[in-house]
Amino acid sequence: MDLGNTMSINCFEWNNQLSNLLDGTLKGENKIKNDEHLKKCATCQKHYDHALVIFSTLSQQKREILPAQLRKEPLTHLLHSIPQEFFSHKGKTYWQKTPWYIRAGTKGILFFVVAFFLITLTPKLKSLYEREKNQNRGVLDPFSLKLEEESQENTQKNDNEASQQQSLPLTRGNLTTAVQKEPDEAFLGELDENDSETNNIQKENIAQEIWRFHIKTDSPHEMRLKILKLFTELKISSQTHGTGGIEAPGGIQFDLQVTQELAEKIKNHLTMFFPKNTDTASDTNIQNTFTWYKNKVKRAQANGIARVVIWLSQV
Amino acid sequence: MALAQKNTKRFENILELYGDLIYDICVNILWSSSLGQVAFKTTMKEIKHELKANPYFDYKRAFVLKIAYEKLGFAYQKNIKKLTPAEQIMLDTYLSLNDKINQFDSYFHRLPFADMFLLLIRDKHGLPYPEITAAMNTPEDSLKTQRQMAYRTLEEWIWETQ
Repeated sequence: MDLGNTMSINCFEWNNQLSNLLDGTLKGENKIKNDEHLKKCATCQKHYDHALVIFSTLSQQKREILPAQLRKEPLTHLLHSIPQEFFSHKGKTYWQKTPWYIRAGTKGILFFVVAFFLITLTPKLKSLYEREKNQNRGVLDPFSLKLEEESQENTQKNDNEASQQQSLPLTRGNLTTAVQKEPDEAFLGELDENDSETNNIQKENIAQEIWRFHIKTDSPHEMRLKILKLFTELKISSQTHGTGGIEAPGGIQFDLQVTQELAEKIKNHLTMFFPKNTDTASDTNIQNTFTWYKNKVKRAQANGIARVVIWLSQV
Repeated sequence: MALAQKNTKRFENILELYGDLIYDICVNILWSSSLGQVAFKTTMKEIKHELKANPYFDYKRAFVLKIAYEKLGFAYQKNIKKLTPAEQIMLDTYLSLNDKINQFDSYFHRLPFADMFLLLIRDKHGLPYPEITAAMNTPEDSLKTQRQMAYRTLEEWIWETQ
């Protein structure tokens, strides 16, 4: 490499002049200096030779000529002039050949039909799904299975007791009419007649019901013992959740899940504890001492299971 | 009406004068005649739009080239063609010097877009630097350095990987 002196140029300077040298725009003293450097420096001479090859290759490249079609219509390239059939193998389908208004109409009708079916079927599908979900819960819930087993044992052992209890008064209404009626009928008589949904549930024997008993007493703790005794008589296991009762501000609450039969037995027993007094003077007070009602449960519950809530309130 | 006719005439004039040049640049840089046609159409559309927007502006080659440079840049970014590693290895190692010079296009298209544009309009079409400066919006000395660097890169690829 030539490091250069005052009269001649070095490789760096020569490189800077390469573009002008190729263009042939170097003249006079600059051209002489470049030529002298090329004679002395073999590396730069090699670079120059290579640059000349590249330059000649570039300048000799074939020039593309604007196609006549494109020159005629410069804003539409040639591919647009090729018929569409060229790109598609089979041409237009029957659907594509039909007029646009028929296609649009058909699509609109189909859309509305699909929308209608979706709107009508969604609630039905939802109810089916929920029913299946409830059934699955009933099968898989070990607590409910245990209760069912207990209820079966109770029914086998207490056939006589059950037959006697059926003859007991069932409502707080007229005693005689209540005895004449079947227990379910008597109970349903007390329910809201307009609540057809509840009746349907009762008829289908789907246990989605809650029994609420409200007992007003001077001493809830004494009453609690009576209730516990009742549970023992009815052979409700002490292991059953909620049989112990929970002390709450204003009283004691029992919240347990039992079979429907047991729930009815509890109701019968409690009704016997608090018979309706016919005395008109004290009627109001006695009626307020014990009240009960049955309602349907919104929450999903296992088949044959009823929720019993007994509230012993401090007077 | 007269203005519209005038614009149409000017557009036809531009197409007649620079149509081949722009088409050649488009096809060479995008390395495909179909893509080149699309890029040419886009450029022409933009030129027509400019003619309509500024009817009294004196359009020269530099301005047409500037529009072509911008539109081609977008088209190149969208349709950039990269060699596969196998092709690059083949180009770098297995070919003889003569074959490499014959495959000059492959090396040329490995250059950046601006370098390709510069070499094409300067070395192939011999356009003067002032017009290239206006088209590429780059000073003349920078263009000369850029050109020299592009030459050096091509030289490295072709001669120094033997």
